[in-house]
Amino acid sequence: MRCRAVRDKLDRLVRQELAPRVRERVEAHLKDCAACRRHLAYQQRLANLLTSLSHPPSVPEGFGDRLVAAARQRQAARGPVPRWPRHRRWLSPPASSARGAAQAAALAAGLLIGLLMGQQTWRSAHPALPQQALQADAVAVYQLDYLTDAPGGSLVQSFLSLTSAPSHHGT
Amino acid sequence: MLATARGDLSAFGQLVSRHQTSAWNAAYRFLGNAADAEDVAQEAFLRILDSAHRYRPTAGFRTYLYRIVSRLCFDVARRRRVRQHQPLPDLAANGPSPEGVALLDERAAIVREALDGLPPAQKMAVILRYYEDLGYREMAAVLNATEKGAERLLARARANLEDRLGGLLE
Repeated sequence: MRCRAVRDKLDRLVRQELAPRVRERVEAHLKDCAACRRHLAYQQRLANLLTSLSHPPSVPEGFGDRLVAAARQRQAARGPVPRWPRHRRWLSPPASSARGAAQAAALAAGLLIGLLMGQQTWRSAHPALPQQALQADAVAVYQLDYLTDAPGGSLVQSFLSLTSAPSHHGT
Repeated sequence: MLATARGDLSAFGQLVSRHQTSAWNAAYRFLGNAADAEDVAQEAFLRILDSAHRYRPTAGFRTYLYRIVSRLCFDVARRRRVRQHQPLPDLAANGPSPEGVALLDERAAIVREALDGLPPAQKMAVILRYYEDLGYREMAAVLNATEKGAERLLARARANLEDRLGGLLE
């Protein structure tokens, strides 16, 4: 056992808190190591010095009463003390299989309603583009009319003529 | 503690009267003045009341209390430099001569100054070990360390104290 490890354990040795096997090793080391023996004596003097300091004064009079009054105030301001959190109860296994089935059915119904409502909302926000209007006036459909003032022969004009051109896919 | 968790303030009162001295002594030793020590001890108990429904008895209640007191003391130490200890009154109660009293006072002042000069975690480790008489396992739980870590922390504290108190230890 190295000196440093032994010195870390001297305090526990003095208070008889070491496991028997560790204590034997520390004591064996101390027999052979004068430096660690000196360190042990030094540590005991330090402990005596520290414990010779006076005790703190007593707890202030009325401390407990003031504390309970503060607790009462705090409790009154917050209402009743919460019991075991609701979410934990909800997450705990159901008391019976019938209750579990009812919970599962309610969850499935909620999910289905949510899905249908979501689909409806999506449709109303994204109306389908009529195919004919697409072919007839791409500028209007894609709201590119603010570009029609571009000078002739510009890149935009070329793009517009390309997108307005009739389809060659045999329709 | 279970009754306290249900909001029973008389049970809370009993908890306070049983453990107030531990909280008060540790806070006072660390902070060195009565006003701060009372604030910390009071706040520690109120926090225990607030979180009583989450308390699980994995460690002793006293360990749990010291843990909260320690954190609050560290917060105070972070916010401001810990004040010097006020003179503690009963050192010379056994009646040594006036010269002896002066000598003891001077020695006590040096020891307190050395303690105050330690980093907060080391200082709390010394308080828990030498004054509150905690074992290493409890100390580790209070200081959020392993047992080995608590042992090293205390060893560093002792080495620091020995450096500062060399003259008194010869």
